[in-house]
Amino acid sequence: MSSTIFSDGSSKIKTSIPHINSLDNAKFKKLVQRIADKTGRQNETIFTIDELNKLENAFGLSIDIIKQLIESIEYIFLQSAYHLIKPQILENDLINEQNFDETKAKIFVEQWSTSAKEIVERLKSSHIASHSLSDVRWTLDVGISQASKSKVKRPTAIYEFQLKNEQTQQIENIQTEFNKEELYVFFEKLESIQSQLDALMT
Amino acid sequence: MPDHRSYQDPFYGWTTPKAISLCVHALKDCSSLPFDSIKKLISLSETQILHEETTPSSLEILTKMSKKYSVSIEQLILIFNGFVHVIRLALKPPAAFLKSDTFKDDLRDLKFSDQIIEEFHNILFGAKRDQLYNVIQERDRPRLPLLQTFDWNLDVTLTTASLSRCIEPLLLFQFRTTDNRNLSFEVPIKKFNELRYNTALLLKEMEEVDGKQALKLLET
Repeated sequence: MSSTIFSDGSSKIKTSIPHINSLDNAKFKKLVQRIADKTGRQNETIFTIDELNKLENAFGLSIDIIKQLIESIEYIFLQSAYHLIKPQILENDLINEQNFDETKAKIFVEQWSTSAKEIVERLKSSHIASHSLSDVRWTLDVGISQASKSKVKRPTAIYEFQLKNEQTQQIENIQTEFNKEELYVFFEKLESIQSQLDALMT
Repeated sequence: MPDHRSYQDPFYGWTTPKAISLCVHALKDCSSLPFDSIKKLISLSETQILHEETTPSSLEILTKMSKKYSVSIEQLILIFNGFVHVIRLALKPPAAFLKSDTFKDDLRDLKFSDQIIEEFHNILFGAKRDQLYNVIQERDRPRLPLLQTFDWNLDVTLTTASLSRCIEPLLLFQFRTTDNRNLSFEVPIKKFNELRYNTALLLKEMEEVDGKQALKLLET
């Protein structure tokens, strides 16, 4: 018995397969498309409760079975992304090992060919750290006068680093100020990081 | 040569500041003070400006002086305060504006003795001149938090729970700012590129500030 790509979870999806095979092809295609669009996005559910209810009516299946269906399809996408499976191999596995209907398998693989790159990109960019830099804003001001000196010409860079908390999705603003020397030092640090990145890439 | 008083205000402003007039008055009252001690006070006021944190020790020195020369501490404080004011006011206009002779003339108008004037002149045009100007401009102004330390980690992600073969660079920054915030965060490579580009742009703009027409009026 040759091993399948989905050996870890094949019991999960076994029960869903007969239901999948029984679905109308056009509807299945749309379903698969929607799931592919949403797979790998952090903190997002694929279907809202209302949409699930609509699906219940559209497919004539109970909500539990539909949920299971969606999970199985998502699982197949995630596993394919994990192993970076080529479409042909996926098709063979679905038809031979998972007992997918040929047409259904073809629809699935077609969607996979289109969305694979996007899904992998999304998975690559999922952050583990508690905060990540979501945006950088800046202004260049020139100080012209202050209490201790009547006339100055002092260019000052003000940065606002926007950090997103991955758990709460809240943005924290960090404001810092740089004069010319400080900005040069900062820039030199960034340049050294870039040269390390370049060394990595070669 | 027209008198500088006809085209330039004295360095201390339009009218004699109260602190200075009180200082001159107190000096007259304490005529028993030897010039050496006055010299010491003037150099103490210079130290006061350069190293603001040592204010408590200034008070100690004043107390000792008051006991030594049997002069009341209030008088000494008035004199000291006046001296500090003179130096601060002299440092206020741009460095090029303060000319030796006009400075001495203005001090004469304030009714300081020639010896004292000489002392002030030595401070303003002496060895510590640049340091004084620098401190006044950079230290004595409000500033947003500064970036104190900036540490970074460049890692390479090989595999994750969701991808068996990943090979993505992972950039982590740690900022420590002067308002005691310690922030660790991940920087997506795209954002890093934007940050680097914007910083270079900012530096270029800063260099160009000197050439801007509107700011030419601020030539010092």
